[in-house]
Amino acid sequence: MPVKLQSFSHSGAILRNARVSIGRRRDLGVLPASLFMALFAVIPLLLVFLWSFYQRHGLWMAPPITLENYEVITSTDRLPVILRTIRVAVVTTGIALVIAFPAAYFFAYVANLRAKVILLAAFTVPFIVSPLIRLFALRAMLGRTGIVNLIAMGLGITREPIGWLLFTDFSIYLGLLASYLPFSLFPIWLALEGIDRRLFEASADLGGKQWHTFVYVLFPLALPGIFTASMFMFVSIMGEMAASLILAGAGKVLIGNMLLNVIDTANFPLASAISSLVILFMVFLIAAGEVFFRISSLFTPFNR
Amino acid sequence: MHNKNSDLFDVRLDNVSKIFGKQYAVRDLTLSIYKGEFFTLLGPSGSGKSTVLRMIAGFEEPTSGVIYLGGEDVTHVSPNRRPTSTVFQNYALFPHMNVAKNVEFGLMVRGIPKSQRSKQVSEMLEVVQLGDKAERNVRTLSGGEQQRVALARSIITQPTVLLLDESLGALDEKLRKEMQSELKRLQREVGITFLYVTHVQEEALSMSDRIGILAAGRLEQVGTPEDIYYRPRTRFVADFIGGANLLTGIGRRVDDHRVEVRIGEMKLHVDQASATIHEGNEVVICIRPEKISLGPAAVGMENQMAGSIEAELFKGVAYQYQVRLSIGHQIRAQVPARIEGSEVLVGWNSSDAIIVE
Repeated sequence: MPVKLQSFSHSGAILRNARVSIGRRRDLGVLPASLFMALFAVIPLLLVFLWSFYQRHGLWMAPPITLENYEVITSTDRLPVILRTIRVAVVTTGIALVIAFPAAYFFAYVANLRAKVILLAAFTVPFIVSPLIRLFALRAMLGRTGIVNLIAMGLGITREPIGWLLFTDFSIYLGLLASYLPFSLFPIWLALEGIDRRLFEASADLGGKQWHTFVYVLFPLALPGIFTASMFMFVSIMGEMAASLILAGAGKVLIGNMLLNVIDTANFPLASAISSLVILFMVFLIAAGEVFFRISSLFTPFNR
Repeated sequence: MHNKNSDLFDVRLDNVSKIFGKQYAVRDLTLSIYKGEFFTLLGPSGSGKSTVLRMIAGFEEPTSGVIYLGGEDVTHVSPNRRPTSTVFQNYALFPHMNVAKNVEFGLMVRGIPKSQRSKQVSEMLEVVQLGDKAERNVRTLSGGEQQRVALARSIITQPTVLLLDESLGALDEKLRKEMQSELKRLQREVGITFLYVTHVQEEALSMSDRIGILAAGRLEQVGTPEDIYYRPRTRFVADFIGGANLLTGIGRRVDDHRVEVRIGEMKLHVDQASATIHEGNEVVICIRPEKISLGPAAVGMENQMAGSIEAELFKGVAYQYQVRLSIGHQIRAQVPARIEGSEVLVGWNSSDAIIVE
């Protein structure tokens, strides 16, 4: 056997974050998106705000500047619709978070890859069907002769068909949840996936019980996802028309329906005023979030 | 069950094995770590050293065997009920908390009153020299500072054993040297048993009271740094620590303290009283590069042969040479001064060579 001579040299490999740049002017990449948003999102927003102070003029609008549109909102039954929509949005978002969080937790920490794929499909495939069709299907299910009532009566839970299933607040909430639940699930899921698991080990290692880890580590680190989920839900519901149109009874309209009616009568200044109020409310929400929860700090990336 | 050796040992592993899938990560490991000791588990990646650490911390349960901490059987005890604390490889600091809150965490979950907590935290931060950084966001700290936060966060819980998982690995060379002495200082200051895991032999040699060498899930040797370095028991240890020269030949015991090893025509001698040598069997001898002399310095040494220099490497404090021996083998020699010419005399003393398994 020949003499074997070996030499190991263990230079402790130091892993460093390498920042790879593509081309020299990385910053230029943001230009198309910024231009697009400036042209087609920010300018219309400012126009809407400006128009809210105009007056009707034939089928269009014109100065002088006036507060008349805002007075109309407060003095007619427009305001209750706005407040009602906010209430519906808050409640639906709350319910969605309560349902989505445990599901997201399951996705992130419990499910294996196979279960993830199946669940992901279950949450996304229904969305290839038009929302209108889905909502009509829901209406058919919830009606007096719908499948829910048939089963309830068949099982003897009720003698008469249940009336409050359709054209009520219940059906609105159900319709909105059916439409938007995935939008609250995914951001929370992604936030949970992004948390370094070793932080949970560190918590346990330092003597933390499971609820300590949940309250002081997992939940705070999931907040960016929870906030994003809330914003998705909230913004969507503030502009929703279909669910209320198809599932709500008379007088149960949301802001979206009201806006459409106002635009139908060519009262663009009033429509602008209503929209401006909604925008102001959203800005107020974000500002409050910043003051009380320091939302902006949640978006700074975490060191791994 | 109370262990009779509990006064002596903080950590005791009794025949511990861990199987992942069908693979043994750790196999039949028996190991005792003394109270207040700085013990290092040293091994290449994949040797199972991190698994051992995770089993002691409670993140993994052994497939078989028993783990004692401070005399208590903790084999099936969850991590939050164990008197251990881990300094993770990436530190695992809570990114949403500032320095003080990170350090405070272990006290908070123990329900210690707020006023007492802040007092202990500021004391602890002084110990790790971060007193002025209490309110800083941990994300804005340098690697060395993060490391000190992680240490403070663990030590403040007064663990029986502090487990350090390649904790210096992410630091640059200079900082690592500084933190090595910092760690030693801290360990003396707080008097806690340290169990350090690393693949860097130089770290192990400079910091540890004792070292355990792991290879493929088995403990190869346990001993003081000097033991491990000068008296490696196995070929693996000799090679892994300091890259020793290994030569294989046919052994024969000459007398009570001398063994003769024949490689081809060449007869080498090794001073070794302990090893049992069966005549005619293959033995492996190990010679450290710095124990080999070249040129005039080799004159008069007990083992001598001709060699030719194939490569030279300046190492600062010494020169390292790759030498082709007349018997055909290549060795490494580390000498204090530069050697002129390429044909040299190579020599070493019989007492500087050892026989390894």
